Parts: sequence; structure tokens; C-alpha cells
Amino acid sequence: MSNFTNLGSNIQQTRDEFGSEADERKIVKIKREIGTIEELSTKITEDMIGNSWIVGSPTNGIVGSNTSTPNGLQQVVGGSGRVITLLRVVNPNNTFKEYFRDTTFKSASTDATWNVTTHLLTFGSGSVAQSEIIATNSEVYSTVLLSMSGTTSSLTPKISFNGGNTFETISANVSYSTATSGTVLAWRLESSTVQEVTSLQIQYS
Amino acid sequence: MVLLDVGMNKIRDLVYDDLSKGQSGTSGTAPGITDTVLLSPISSTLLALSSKSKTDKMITVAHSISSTTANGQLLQEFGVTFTDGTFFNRVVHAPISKNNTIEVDYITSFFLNNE
Repeated sequence: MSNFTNLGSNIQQTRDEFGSEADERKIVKIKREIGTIEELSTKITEDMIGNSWIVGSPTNGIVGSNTSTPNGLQQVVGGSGRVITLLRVVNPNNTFKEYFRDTTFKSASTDATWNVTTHLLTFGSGSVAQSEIIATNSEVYSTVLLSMSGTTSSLTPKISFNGGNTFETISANVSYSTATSGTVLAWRLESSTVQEVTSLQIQYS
Repeated sequence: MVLLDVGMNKIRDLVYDDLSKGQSGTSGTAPGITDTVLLSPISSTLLALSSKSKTDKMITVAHSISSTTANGQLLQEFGVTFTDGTFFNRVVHAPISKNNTIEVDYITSFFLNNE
């Protein structure tokens, strides 16, 4: 029994010689870098073949006079009589994203500088930027949430539920519900001073 | 610490070079990240991409279905594949009735985001 007592006092002595536990620790902060691959919009168009001559087509592949083409005219080599119609624009999770790397969704109504080299949408005083149709999929939309990055505090964002015919003024980062829902979305930004947008996102339902 | 644009564009090139075909199908089931193929593919629409292009950290691909293909079908899904047949994405959309008077064209973009 006494041997155990002596052993205990020896342990205590050893602990005293080593001193107390360290009370300072080195903390390494690790910052994660995240890169993502984002699937953006998918545009689906219908190309009416008209009276184009097409090899193998039951209506447009006949050599010689032919009135079986969709428009009833004799077929012509090339793209004669073609009409392209936008059928759908779908976005993952009903979220449209614009990074200004192409002009796919740039409307001709835009007079702000939509620069696909610098990836910036730059506004001067009184300039506007407007999109083509950014969402249409045989669905009715009534609520949007628009957000932007860049120098955007003086921009007036607007949204159209009828493909750009009329626009309603909204606030960035605030969910907006319209009284007149629609099936075709487009956006518009208006500025009274110099502003710069690096990306734009619209969630909709 | 940052992920560099040149590094992202290297990844873009690896993906871009391997993207090969597009395909359409008739399933309207919502897409999920565990999908591995189109749910109701139309075999005749598995075709080489009609075009693909790349810009800074971005890839755009196009897929076309001719007037002689998939007629009578109700198109509702679309996807892009790599050269080994693995699907990269799956898109579901409202039905499109395909007939021999129209061609249907899909254009999809992908963005490599390090911002």
C-alpha cells in the first residue's frame, strides 16, 4: 500500500517539474477557395424549314416542282422561307444568371456598354440596358428577386412579365410580386449616373 | 488565396475538348443531380453537337434536330454528353411537338465561376 502512495507522490513531482500544460496554441486559418461550374440558360428555338430543299425530307426533299413544302412553294436550295421562333428559355432552379461574357440575352434597346471582353455592363448618365427574353417555358410567372454585383446603388431595375412590352420598377434584393402575371420574362436597368454591373441574377416563380 | 482565371480556363478546355454529343428525350420528370442519362431518350437524336464555342471561363454548345428526325415525338428533355457517353447535364422543358416542318435547336452555356 505504501508503495502505491510513494508512486503517487513521484507522479505529482514529475508533473511539477514539467510545469503546467501549455496555454498558448498556434491556430492555422485555412481559407477554402471554391470554383464552380454553373449551368446557365438553355434556349430552344424552332426553325420552320419553309421551302428549303432538304435531302431526305418527305415534304422538302423532292426534286422538281413540289407544293408539299410547309408554305406550299417549290423548294429552293439554301435557307429560303425559313422562320426562327423562340420556343423556350429554361434556367436551372428557375434562376437566370448573366455574367456579360456573351450577348445572347442583350436586347437592341441597350445603349449602356455591354462589354464581353471586360465582362462589365457600364452605364453613363441616362443610359439603359435591356435583355431579350430570359425565361419562358409555358409557365406563369408572378414573383421575381433580382440581385446584382458591382456599383449598382443608383440603378433602377425593372422587370417585364410580357417579354419586354411593359416593365415594372422593382428594388434589387427585394422579392417582388406583380399584380399582372405573365409567361415571358425580361429585365431592364436604367441609370442616371455612372454605374457598373459585373453580374446579375434573377430568381423567378 | 485565389483560384486563377488561367486555371479555370484550363479546366474549361478539358471539359470543352471532351464535350461531344447532344440528345433529346420525352421524359418530363424534373432533373436531379443523381440522374445519369436522359430518362426517355430518343435514339435518333443522339448526334454530334452542331457547334461549340468557348470564351473566358465559358462554354456554349448547340444541338440541332433536323426536320427528318424525331417526328411525332413530344420533346421534353435534353442533355450534352462527353466522348465516352457520360452525360454532363440534363434539362427538362415544357413539351415541344416535333414534326417534319421544323428543326429544333438547343443552345446551352456553362460558366466556370471563381468570382
